[in-house]
Amino acid sequence: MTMLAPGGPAQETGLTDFPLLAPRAPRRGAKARGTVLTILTTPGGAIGSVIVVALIVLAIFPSQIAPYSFSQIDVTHPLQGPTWHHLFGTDQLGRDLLSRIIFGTRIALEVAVPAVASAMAVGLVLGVLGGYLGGLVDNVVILLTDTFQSFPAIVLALALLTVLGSSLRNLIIVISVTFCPNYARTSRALVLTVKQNQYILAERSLGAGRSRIMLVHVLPNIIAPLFILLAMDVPSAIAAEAGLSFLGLGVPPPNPSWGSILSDGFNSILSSPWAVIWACLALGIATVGFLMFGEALRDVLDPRLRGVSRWRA
Amino acid sequence: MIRYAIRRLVAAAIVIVIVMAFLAILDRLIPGNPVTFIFGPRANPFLIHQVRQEMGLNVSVPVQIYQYIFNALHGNLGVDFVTDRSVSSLVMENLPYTVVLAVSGLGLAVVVGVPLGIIAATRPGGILDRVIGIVSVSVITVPSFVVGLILILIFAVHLGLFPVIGAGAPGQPLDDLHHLILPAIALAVGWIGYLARLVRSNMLEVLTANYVRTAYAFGIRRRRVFYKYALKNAAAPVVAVLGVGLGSLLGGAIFIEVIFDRPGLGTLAFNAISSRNLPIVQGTSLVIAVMVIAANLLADFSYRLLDSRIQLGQTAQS
Repeated sequence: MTMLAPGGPAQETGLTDFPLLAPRAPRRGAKARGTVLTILTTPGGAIGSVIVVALIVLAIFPSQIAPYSFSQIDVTHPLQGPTWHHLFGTDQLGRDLLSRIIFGTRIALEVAVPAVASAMAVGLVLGVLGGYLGGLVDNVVILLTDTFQSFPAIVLALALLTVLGSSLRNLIIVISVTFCPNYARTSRALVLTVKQNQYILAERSLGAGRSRIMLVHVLPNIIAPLFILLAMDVPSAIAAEAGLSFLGLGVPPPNPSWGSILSDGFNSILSSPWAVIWACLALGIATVGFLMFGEALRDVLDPRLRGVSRWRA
Repeated sequence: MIRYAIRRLVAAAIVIVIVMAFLAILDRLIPGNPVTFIFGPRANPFLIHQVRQEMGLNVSVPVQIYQYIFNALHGNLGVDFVTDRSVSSLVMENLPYTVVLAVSGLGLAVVVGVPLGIIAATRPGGILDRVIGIVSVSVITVPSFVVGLILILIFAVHLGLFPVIGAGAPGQPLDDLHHLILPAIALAVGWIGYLARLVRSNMLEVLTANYVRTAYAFGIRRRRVFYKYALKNAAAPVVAVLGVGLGSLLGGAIFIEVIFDRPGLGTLAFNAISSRNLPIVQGTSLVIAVMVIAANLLADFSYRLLDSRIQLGQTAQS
């Protein structure tokens, strides 16, 4: 491999002019404040942020906010429409739908956030290794991602859930596997561009090891765009969890996933449409809110990242 | 171009082989003994041995992979161990339903989404543009099964205009079509939003190109520039996106089939899961994966063909 590009600045000025450290943005605090302000001043970003914050609050304090327990059965009042006692009505077992939707927020985020985060962690490792080391490792990473990406996410999830069985943990694993290749791909591509920078070359000439360069110099420079991807993938993961729970492959009852509320409501759709309506609304608001927030974040930080999510079907 | 095509074909073949290998050893992922897992408390040593033999589990991993790939290449995807029918014939029986659903969903998305994008691009920042923008963002992330349920709620349950379930009586095209409308709309809605946004941004980009300015300078009417010159180039990336998107479209079709209780690969796989019918899950996954890989290849090639023509056109015009 050629260490120095011919005709580059290195030949004219010598190594002393190389930026020896990764460029650090000055006034990081001020920059972060500016980012937050920009997100909040765009209409989409403001609406998205409000929805995301509200969902997080609901997910952390469901028992304080919900009027009833999610599993409190009242067989004398099944399938009611909205009343003052039950603002959203009740389901086929007389459980309060508002409370179930609120507790469902917790399940949705409890699955979606760890799933996407672990997908990012594993994908990042694969991508950095493949992108930086190149050669055989890179080819293996590419083949792996190609293979997993040739399954539609739901098909891969179904195949894996058939053998693993359904539980909260397996749901997180399966969703994480379907999201992982995208992170591997993206981080690999980012590494390939960062690798060309002269400060990496400088580090190598100073004798830094490969693992040090990957951890200290490559990683911090590719992490920001990946967090944007993370924000954009959370709504898809929420939809994935709801979809798999809808098919009966998600969290076991009586846990109130929005997907299982939907499927319960679907079974009694002829007598009462309310469960379906509320669960659809919750899912719609959550996914649109996270998407708007993610898009605002992307537009501020890195407008180049655009792509199709595999779960958006 | 030919060298590129060969390289892509070889890569696709390798990926298909790995997909098959992955599916072949899927049962090894089951914690414990897969056969005990399948039969549960009904398992006895004789049954276990017999089924392991039938499933080809009494061999090493490489042999198992080799056997699966060998059989798959000869059109043998194993035997459904509930009905004892061959998986390939089951898959072939259900494949047309899924293909019809996916293609009509895709077609609907193009027919509605592309014009919406063009309308939005004619007056960027106008009221229509904003309305289309907001609507497309909202429908993009809403999952297809949610759209399907809402459609069922409104048009089938409340208004009674369409049947809720089934695929229509065989041999009656009108009935089939009647049953297809709601599922196809449910599948298409998200894509309509996505395509509208894509076409809009492509159009706006193309409209700033030199050849468009030159066309205006020649005194060609706005309408003609818009539809004859700009649209052709703005539409090309749509092809690539459609190819890549076929995977998620097929994924959405699985949900739609289950909700509308239509026959198809999705329903087949879904029903197989509850009976832990691994050969069927393997077979359907393989067929869908091969379809996705083929669609990606096709989109890649056609995009490249379209792309080179565009670049030729651009250099000639500007």
